[in-house]
Amino acid sequence: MSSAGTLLPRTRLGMYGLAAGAAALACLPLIAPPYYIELGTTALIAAMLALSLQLLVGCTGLVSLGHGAFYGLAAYTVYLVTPANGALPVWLTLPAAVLAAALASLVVGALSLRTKGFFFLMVTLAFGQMIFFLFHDTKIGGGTDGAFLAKPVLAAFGYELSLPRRQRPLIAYYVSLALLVAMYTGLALLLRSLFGRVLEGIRINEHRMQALGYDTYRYKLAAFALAGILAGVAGHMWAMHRGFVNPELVGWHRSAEALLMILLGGLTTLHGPIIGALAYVGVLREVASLWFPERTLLVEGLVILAIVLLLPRGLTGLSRHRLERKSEPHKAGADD
Amino acid sequence: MGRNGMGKTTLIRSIMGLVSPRRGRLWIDGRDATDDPAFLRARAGLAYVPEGRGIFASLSVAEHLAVAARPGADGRTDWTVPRVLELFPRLAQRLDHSGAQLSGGEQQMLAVARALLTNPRLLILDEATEGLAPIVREEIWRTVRLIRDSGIATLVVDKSVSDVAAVADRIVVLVKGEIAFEGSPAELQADPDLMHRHLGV
Repeated sequence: MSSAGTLLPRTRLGMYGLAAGAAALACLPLIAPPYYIELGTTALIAAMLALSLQLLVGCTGLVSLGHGAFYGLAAYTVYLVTPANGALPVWLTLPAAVLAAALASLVVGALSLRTKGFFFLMVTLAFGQMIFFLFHDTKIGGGTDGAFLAKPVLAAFGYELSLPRRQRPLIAYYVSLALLVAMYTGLALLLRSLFGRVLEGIRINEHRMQALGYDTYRYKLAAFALAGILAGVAGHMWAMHRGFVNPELVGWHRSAEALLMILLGGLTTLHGPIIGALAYVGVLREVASLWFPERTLLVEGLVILAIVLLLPRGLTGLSRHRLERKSEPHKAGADD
Repeated sequence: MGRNGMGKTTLIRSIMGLVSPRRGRLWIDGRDATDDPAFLRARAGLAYVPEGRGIFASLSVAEHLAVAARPGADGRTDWTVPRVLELFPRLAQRLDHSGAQLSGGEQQMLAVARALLTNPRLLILDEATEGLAPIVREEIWRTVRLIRDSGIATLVVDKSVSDVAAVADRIVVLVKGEIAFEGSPAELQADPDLMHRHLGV
């Protein structure tokens, strides 16, 4: 029980479970038809977005409704920096997209983190919608129709890697999976560090952390900006994957969906949002539109409602509950 | 000291900067710190053990100590993790346990250890012995005496007149946010009427 205080797996078994899950995802393209590889990529990108939001929601206790804006802004940045009839290498588009997301999240965070709770929710929503209308109501990103962008190229020193068209979805899948694994590992290390403990302390009781001498505003801002950067990585990947941007990427629905994935997967673990995203994008949305083409949203809503009501700790709560009952010694009454 | 609802905790929380005072100013070292946020006051040397102990249920004992440890306002590092574990050997045996797994007494020791690790100049204890077994209370009081003797000013809020009188140099009785009595323990105990009226003894 050395990592009692984190959202990370508490047992060796849990770590093996995560590794097995990643291995299973890596094997998926071996058996899945191309359509499902594309769907898998979409789900992995959604998982990145949900995971980046979990740094705020599950780790720091900040519920933001503006998070999708950084994701969409990064996707739009790829379009904006790419010349009309050409293509830019990934080495240029990724830093540009991440920089845009970082700057925007730093500014939005600096202002919105002066508020708390419900007001924070509303202020982040307002900023998110501002960025949404920037693209929705002006022509800079193709307006309401959105815009196509050239497919990405991997190029350096004049050498360009050209990929056969058939292999592109596969590459996108594995790049997304690698990014997701890297993001999870990075966040896991972060949570184990002093910085992660401080964020957890802030989530449980911010006053207490202040009374210990921590400038909690700075820590929250750092978490907010980092989450924005990670959302930017996800948004960049989306632009690479789909080659298309539209205002829907930026709107508050995107943030709400990411929150939903966190709820579905489980608020109390770092891997919960990944499971939530894969279950929502890869399974639930797909099954609902296939079996109930005219009642998709209704079925989705009912299933989500049932899961949230029956499993308050989300899908990951299923295994965790049983493990804890087995391993937890006596519980003394802590006040929170 | 003072009865319930007389403003003891509110006073302490305003000293720490966790609530803003409606009137009055707070001075630290001759500097007006009324508008300082809580973290600056903590860095200036105030440490706070809140009522109800305020342990983080999901952090382990070792994590609590790691998060709290910092040099004092004047760079002092008198209190280190090994030293607080020497003071509270029971915590040393529970380093891997989460806050929720500790007994009430252990939680209180952890709360005091956490405050000491900030190397404070003023330690504020709010109802530190509330709800603890007599033997554990005795240990807490013994620690308070030790901390006081080590040169750290200590502000204690407690309901037990005899326990407070045994460690305090000066006692203040609050009634509805106003000072009703200020003096030595002996002076307080010499006034049974006041003790009865304001402390219910």
